[in-house]
Amino acid sequence: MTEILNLLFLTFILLWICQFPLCKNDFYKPITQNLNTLELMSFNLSIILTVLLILSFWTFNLNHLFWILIFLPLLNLIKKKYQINLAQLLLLAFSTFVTIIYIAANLKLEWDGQLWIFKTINFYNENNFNNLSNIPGFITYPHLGTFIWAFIWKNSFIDHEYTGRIFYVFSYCLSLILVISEKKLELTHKLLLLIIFFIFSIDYYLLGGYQEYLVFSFLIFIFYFYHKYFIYSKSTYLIPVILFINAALWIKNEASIFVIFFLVYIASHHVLKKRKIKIEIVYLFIVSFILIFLKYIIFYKYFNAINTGWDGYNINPLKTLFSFTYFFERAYFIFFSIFVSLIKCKIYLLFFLSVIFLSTKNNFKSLLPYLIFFILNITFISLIYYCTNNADWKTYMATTVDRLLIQTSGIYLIIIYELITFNILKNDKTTNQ
Amino acid sequence: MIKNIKKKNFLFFLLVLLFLIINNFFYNLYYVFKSDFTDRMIFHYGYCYKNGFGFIEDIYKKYNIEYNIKTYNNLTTPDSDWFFYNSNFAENKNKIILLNYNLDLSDPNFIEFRSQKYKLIHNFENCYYLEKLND
Repeated sequence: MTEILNLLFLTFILLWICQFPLCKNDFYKPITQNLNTLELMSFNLSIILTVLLILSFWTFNLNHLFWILIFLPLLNLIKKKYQINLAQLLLLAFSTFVTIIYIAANLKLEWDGQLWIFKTINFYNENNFNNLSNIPGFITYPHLGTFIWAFIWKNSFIDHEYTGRIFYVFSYCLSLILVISEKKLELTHKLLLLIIFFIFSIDYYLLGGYQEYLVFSFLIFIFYFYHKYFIYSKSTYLIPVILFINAALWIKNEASIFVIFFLVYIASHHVLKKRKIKIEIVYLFIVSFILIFLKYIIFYKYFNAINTGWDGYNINPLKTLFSFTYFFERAYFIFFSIFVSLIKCKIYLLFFLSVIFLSTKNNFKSLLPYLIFFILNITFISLIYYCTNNADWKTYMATTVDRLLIQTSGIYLIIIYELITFNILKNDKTTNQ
Repeated sequence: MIKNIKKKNFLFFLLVLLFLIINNFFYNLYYVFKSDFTDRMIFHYGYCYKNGFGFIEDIYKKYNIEYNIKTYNNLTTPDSDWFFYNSNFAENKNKIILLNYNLDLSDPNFIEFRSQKYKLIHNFENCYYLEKLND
């Protein structure tokens, strides 16, 4: 019973912490005007993540930080007219609690989870980023996910590792509900869509200590706020985009590539919508590249190491790469593996179904940048396994392709939701007429 | 009008129930409520086979250990080192834990593992807690 109450407590604490700094009141009106409760929470989350990332480089008491984060939202209560959407918050609390109960019952850390946990234990024992070189595991793997895991675990009433993983669930649920929060649909419709998205995106295995769902949700936040910026032409919406880009870079190394693809997505989106690229987008490009390089510089400075793929990853000579026999030998296995993984990551099936049945001439221009992102992603995955000379490439491919695909799959929910709601709302209009 | 509201509420709660069922919520809640953390860990990681959580926990408790011990598992599975790993403690290179090994215990004071000599401190089935013998 104590464990269940503790999980309930942590669920509400996460909701509470994300109410600061921004909230819906007159003081923040210029920034928060077009943002709903969940958008504000996501915006706040991007700020909190950045603060936590910076703090992870120093040694300090995690309990003190926790109490500060609990205290800060009280400041917003002092200001008048504090508005929240209770239905959205309850939906988030409910889905987070239900999923974390699943983890509490099936608390096993899966393969890679048992590597990441050492970083978590490092932060749990209040050691900082610098000490990561003294613990087992891969030194070039970024640490933000494990830092938050340790932070929640440390501040849980019950001293069990799995309690820290509630943040992964929270972030995942927040991103899903954020996608369905925008259009004015009935709550029942939203809940139905949430369940559909949940069924199509959940892989409980990956909640066993993997970092994939953090990249999954952060990419949703990035794309979501970019679209918000595109609709309202308000540069403040690019702040969470940049902050989530930075956070994603510190979750997993491959996020650097996904960020570059996102920038290509922005460029193609602007071109297709015949919109001039504004100066703030140019800044976004510059800042993103700076952040990518900064991460590598920090790793090089602290540990004298830079991530260049898995251990023993080397590229074949060009002559081999361009030979026909080599191409046919590898291409078949890579194609087959990607095909199987696309079926395994069910969101892609939903995406293809939506493209086939719900796209029209009008919305195809919105769809095309997503297709470009998808093609870039598939090309990237193919090239990883095509270029390597590592003898174990098939083993690596069998265990990593689906995880690479699931990380980027969340963003397609945005366009799927748009296509579905477009059709629902259109049908409603026709029936009313 | 009232009929419509009732229908909507019914649909809403039906969906909530569906979500709970998808997540196996009722069983999970019962399981967490009924069994404590150690029981669940042993259920998932095993006492000795396969990851030896129960055995390692007993070793750490019984001998009041305040250092990290390297574990070796004969099965293809992730290491069990992390169960009681503390990044503030050093590793004791004289002690090891073996999981799922078939060792010859005819002389518990003289066990050979990877060309090193050990003596047995504690064992349960195929799990062993060993101390290196001085050369």
